[in-house]
Amino acid sequence: MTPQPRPNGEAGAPSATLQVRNLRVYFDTPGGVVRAVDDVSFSLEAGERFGLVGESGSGKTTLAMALLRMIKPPGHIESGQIWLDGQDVLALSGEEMRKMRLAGIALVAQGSMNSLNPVTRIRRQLLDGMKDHAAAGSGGADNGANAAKMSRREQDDYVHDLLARVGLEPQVAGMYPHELSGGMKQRVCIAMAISLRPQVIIADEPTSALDVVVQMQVMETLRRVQEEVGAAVILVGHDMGIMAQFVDRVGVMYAGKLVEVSPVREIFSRPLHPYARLLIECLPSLEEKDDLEGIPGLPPSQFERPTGCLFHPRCPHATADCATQEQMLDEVQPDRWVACHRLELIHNLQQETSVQESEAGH
Amino acid sequence: MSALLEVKHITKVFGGGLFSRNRTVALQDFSLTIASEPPTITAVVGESGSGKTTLARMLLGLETPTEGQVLYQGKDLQGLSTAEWHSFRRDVQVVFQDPFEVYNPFYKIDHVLKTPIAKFGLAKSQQEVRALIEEALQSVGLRPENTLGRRPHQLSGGQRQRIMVARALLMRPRLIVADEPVSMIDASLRATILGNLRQLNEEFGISVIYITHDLTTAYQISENIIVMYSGSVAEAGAIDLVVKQPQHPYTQLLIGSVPQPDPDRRWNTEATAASTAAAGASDGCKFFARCPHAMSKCAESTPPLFQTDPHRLAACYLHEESPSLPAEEMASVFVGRGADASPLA
Repeated sequence: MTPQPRPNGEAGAPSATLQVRNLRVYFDTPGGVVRAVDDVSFSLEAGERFGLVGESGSGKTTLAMALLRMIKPPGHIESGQIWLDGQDVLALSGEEMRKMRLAGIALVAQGSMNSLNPVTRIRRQLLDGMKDHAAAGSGGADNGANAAKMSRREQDDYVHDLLARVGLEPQVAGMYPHELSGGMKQRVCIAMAISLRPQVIIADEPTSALDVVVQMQVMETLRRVQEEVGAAVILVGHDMGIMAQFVDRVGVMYAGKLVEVSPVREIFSRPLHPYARLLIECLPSLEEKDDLEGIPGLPPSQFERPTGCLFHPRCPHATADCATQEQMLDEVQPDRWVACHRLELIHNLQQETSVQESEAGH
Repeated sequence: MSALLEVKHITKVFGGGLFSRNRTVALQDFSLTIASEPPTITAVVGESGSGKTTLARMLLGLETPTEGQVLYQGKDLQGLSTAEWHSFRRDVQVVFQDPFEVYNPFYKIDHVLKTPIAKFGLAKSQQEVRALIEEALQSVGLRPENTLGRRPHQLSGGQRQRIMVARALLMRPRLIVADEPVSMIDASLRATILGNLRQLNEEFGISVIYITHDLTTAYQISENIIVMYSGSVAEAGAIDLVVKQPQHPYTQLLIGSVPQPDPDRRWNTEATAASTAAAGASDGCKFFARCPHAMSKCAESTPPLFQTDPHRLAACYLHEESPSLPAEEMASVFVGRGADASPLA
């Protein structure tokens, strides 16, 4: 596949479409400062599909919104860097950033099918987004046609082409949102997201309100158009099943930090961070009936964060060191980044259990 | 074997009033018998609009059927006396989907546990109330000292949903209707709540109707499954049979679409071609328009339930060589608990 991406941007592969370095998003609340995103670094290659998983409150949606610079007060980007295709996103003016959205980095929001305007036809909604964002200052103009300068005929062709890409009939252009099913609406939102051929599409739980059959269709649609347009995708969610089916790499977030970033096959066959392992082990399967056990304990409160490794109060392998020393994300194997003190030991432990299991099997 | 709750040929139609052109048949000629013994977990699975929540609401007496009857211990729900209604309200409990909406934010969570105790006179003294509540909380794995006295916003969604299960347990019901109890809960906490439901079934002998769109969790906790499509039963029977060897084309599509948490096992993308089509012809099989095996016969009449295995029924003409079974006898093919001698040979 693509060359090895670097989650911690130091080496900074120049080919990376999106680079995030040491990003911190803080919320100033009466109860104190909440570190929603804390020192997160990763990068995306062109066309790559990256999954961001974690429990609710782990900061995955906040991270996605920060990439679009759409954090609302009392939240703010405390520090860090975001580079999109060589451009410093955090240095853009408000107007430049507005143009960058949709043209450079687009969002398919959670429940975005409910974000369509109920009294406007689909055609108009698709064109409005383009008109507003197409005349991007730097580089954006190459991304797509400028709807404002098109003839009616060209606009029609453009809209029909967009709809065809997401598998919708041309008649849909003349319809209102209430005439479409949830899956069709979500496809319209995907059509909107690709209308200006962005380099990055952020999909925040795009199918959480849809049935499994429709969910699969929407995800397959997203995959197809993403490959056609060549955009990278950040898929935010907590459904590990969809992650396994869709993404190339997975980043696991816990309490605002990335604790593991690994290729999808590796993380499912052998998760290294204890939290990632528990997350994958507690998944119910259609193959065999397991013991129904969740991850013990609860995620830390926003205000009382544990010292040291944030996961240590729930971690089955924690020692005294884990409670005092924080471990940074480190490349423990080629392409696998994990933040854990006790990795060596857990590693051997896993090998032992697998040996025992295979012995028991004989 | 007496029936605790019996659903007989119920149909529910929404709309269709004087000024409405739209009639929605949410449930059509549905029958189900829930025996009081042995306690079982039955999953009702289907997509949105398949009628599963309408069924739940009718089982709970929150909705009256347009046609047909819901019987509690042999008596129509609509004709129950006050005393019988009281007993029904205690025997049949519910766990709803959204653990955020069921709490009044102004009350401590003790309130939601104390109210049913007072209402049904379950305890004689404050100590007894306290003991009952603590016992129920411990049964679902919560520590009373960390839970009582707090307000809803101080608890996570998973904790709140477990309190709802504890509340249902307080009443020592014979049936719990759980309508999507884990769909709003993080994956890491889902397992715990499902474990609680299974434990209630095993330890306290409570039957559970588990309503969900998630086949995976249904497979994990249930013995039997009813797959609904557009208000009718598509397939029903022992869950191992239905999940491992689905026979109705809709069940096959549904199971092929489940995203497996394994990158090497792709979901089945071929089966989806026609699946965005609208609802089928009103006379025939509801799945007709989306079905890859549709025959002319399917558009003409609704297929009955064909008994393809001792423990499974499929409403599909592909299996018409098998004997058909009247809809009200559906529960007779279900396996009992502990029937671990898996029907899969």
